[in-house]
Amino acid sequence: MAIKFACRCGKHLKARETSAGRLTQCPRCGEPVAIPQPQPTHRGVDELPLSLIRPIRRTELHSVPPPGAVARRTEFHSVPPPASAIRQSGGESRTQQAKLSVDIPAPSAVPPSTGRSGTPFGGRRRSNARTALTIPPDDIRLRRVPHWWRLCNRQARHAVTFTVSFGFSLGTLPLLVGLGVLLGAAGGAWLRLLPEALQHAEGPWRASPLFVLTGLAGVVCAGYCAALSNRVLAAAARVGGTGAGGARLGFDAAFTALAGWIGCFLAGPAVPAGVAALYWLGCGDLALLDRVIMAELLVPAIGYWLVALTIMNARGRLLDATPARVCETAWRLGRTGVIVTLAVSAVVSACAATTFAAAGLIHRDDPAGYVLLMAATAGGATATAGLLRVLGRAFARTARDSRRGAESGSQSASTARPAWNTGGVPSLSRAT
Amino acid sequence: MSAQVRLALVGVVLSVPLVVRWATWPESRRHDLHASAVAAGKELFLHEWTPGDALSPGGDGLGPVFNATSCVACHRDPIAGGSGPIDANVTTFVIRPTVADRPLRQGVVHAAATSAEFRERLQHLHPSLPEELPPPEPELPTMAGCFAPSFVLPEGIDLSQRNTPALFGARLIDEIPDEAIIAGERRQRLKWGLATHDVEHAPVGRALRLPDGRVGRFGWKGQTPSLAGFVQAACANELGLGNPGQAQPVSLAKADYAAPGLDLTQEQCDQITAFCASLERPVEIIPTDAIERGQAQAGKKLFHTLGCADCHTPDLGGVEGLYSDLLLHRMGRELRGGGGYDDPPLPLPTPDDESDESGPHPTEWRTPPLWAVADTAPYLHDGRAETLHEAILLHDGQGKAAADRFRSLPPEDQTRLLAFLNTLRAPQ
Repeated sequence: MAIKFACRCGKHLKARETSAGRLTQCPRCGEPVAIPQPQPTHRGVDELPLSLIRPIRRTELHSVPPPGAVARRTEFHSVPPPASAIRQSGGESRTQQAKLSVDIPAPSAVPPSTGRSGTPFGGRRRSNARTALTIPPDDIRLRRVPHWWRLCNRQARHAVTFTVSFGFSLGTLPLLVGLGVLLGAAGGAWLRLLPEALQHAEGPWRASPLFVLTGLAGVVCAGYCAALSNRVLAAAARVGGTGAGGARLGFDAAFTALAGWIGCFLAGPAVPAGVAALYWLGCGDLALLDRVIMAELLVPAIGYWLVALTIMNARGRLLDATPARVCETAWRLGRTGVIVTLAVSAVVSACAATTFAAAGLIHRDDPAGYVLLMAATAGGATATAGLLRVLGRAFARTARDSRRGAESGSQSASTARPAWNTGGVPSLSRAT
Repeated sequence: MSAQVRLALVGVVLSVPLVVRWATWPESRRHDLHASAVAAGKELFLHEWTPGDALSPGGDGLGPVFNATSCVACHRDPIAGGSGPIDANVTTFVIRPTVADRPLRQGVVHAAATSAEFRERLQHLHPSLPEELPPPEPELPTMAGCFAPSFVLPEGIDLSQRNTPALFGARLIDEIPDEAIIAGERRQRLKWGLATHDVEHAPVGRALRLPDGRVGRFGWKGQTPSLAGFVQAACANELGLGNPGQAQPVSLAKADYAAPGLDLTQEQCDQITAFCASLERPVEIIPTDAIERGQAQAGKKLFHTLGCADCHTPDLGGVEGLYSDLLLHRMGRELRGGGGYDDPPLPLPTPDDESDESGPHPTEWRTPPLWAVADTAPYLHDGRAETLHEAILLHDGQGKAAADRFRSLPPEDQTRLLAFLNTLRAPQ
């Protein structure tokens, strides 16, 4: 029988019983996750099957530190407590969801467990089980690479994670502003260097290291802006404990977030936006009518994009943002969705106009252009994140209402279809 | 009201702008040519005009000031309608006011007059100027269109020369939609990092919007939006033939002279325009010899890789083989030249006025189409380059990067590029 558990990022995971108590890596966020012990299916069953008490493997024995020493400092992440645990422990579930850092003593130094306090899982049997798992086996694959590389890699990742987490702890808004400023500076420098790079005899990427660096910096900043916006959106749109609000903010998370944004754009909004771009190219000087037509193309594209992002962050998968679901969600969001879409469209338009003006100044080597571009990107990023938060809250509210409606409907009509999205919006075709 | 009805109403409302735009989309610039008009226009094009000419019963005929006595006197190489030699250059001037509230003046210093009292001299522009332009210095034989270095212009006065452009394929250029030219302008700006047209490190041009909203495409400054307008301006300024489109120029020497009437009727102007529109488009002649053909093909690739095609766009608005974007590009101080013969004059930009609505900057030149380039020497706006090799090397400003890359090519590659350009021939 498989053990089902969840990572803090919301990813549902499964593992074999024989892996209980070991650490695994979340395929989505990359964080280590402890595989919990199988929970008793009935209240009062406090003992685990004997088969789960496995012997310590030979490889684990190799890494057992001497008795009394601290084996390893590791981190455990929140695991949704089982219903039985919540019933037994009363109000401890909030405590259990906190991120804990515990020192795991060596097997021989483990004192007899006296209860749940101090452990993320609690329970005497679990303490014994942890004794067996205790030494999270080092990744076998990592053993093949040099020690110094592993050390550097780990420390660098920790440094980045710490830095970003520290910055994030100060608040999302300052971080977004800072990233927006960096994005503006990098983007401005990249735009200024682009003509020389394109005219370089050996190709643009060999033009100058600064051109490549500013381009990469711009991508990284854009990725972090996307990740932070995702975080804001997921936190606001989270329903019933799902959502990706705890996503890690490493480099991979930034690129994943950026890829998610691009994917959401390509999955639908790219078509009207592309038509709008072609129209802009071919319509000559813009008259009022042309601006109206472009708005008719761009506003739905932006609205589609926003709703798709909301679904992706609420469900944790890009593939969930299908056109049908996006349309359903947009319909349910109603006036709030329209207002947020119009507001984001206004922000995007203002940012685009400012960027064009700023780029002109930058190419004339006027420092005011950089200031203008940084203000545009910072303002655009923060305004968009704030509007995404509004959209996420509206999404959560509609999902909650829909769930209540579904539950009441299921009591009155047993034939009602269940909601397709436990964390999101039910189907429009359900009985209402 | 049900949801379906509301949705339908929203759809109708949203489709209104599309329908209106479709209905008001600019009509095609294509126009038909009538053989009779073309034949009559050819006669007028070749006609030697005289004072009190019989073909201009309402006016005074040729003059009183003029640069040539017929259209073909300048547009003659290699056939009627082609380009002109260096001795057919036109001298233009612009006088920028040094005192506030004085109007800006620009125009042409005409080479000839019907009588001595109308004869224009440079001294009419400023007392310190000589009577006539000094001849080119012998040590600068390839810079025939340039003024001698010792010739210093007074402050506020710009003199420049214009070489006669070829008229081959003018109808196709005339039929290019304004939107296609503006699209090229936008594409260039997007490609070069949103750079504006007033910088010289990126080949970003601009379409010259005229006060009436049309886009200029004819003339070295792109100052004329249509072939008909170009013909009428040339008739007035080069031959002194006043017409409904443009009055004949007022002599700098005798400003109080008034013509008795128009020298050309609208029908005559249309006939000349029809003849110019009937001129065949230039062709790209592929060499029959395998070696020469290979060289030309390699040169064509070099043309793109060097960046020449950034401005000399091969195709524009459905016209293939034009090799021009018809945009104004900044070509550097070495190729500076103001002035023009528009009436009323285009508003010229002041140093702190760089808006798109302003007239052409002294360093801005319209990208000349390269079709028939092999048969239309000399080159550049004042014909200062006698060969294509010189013309490429004299590119400055936004064309400097491409010229530098050409300069750094080994001689055999330079030969290949020139071999390609030599395949662009005038119609036979």
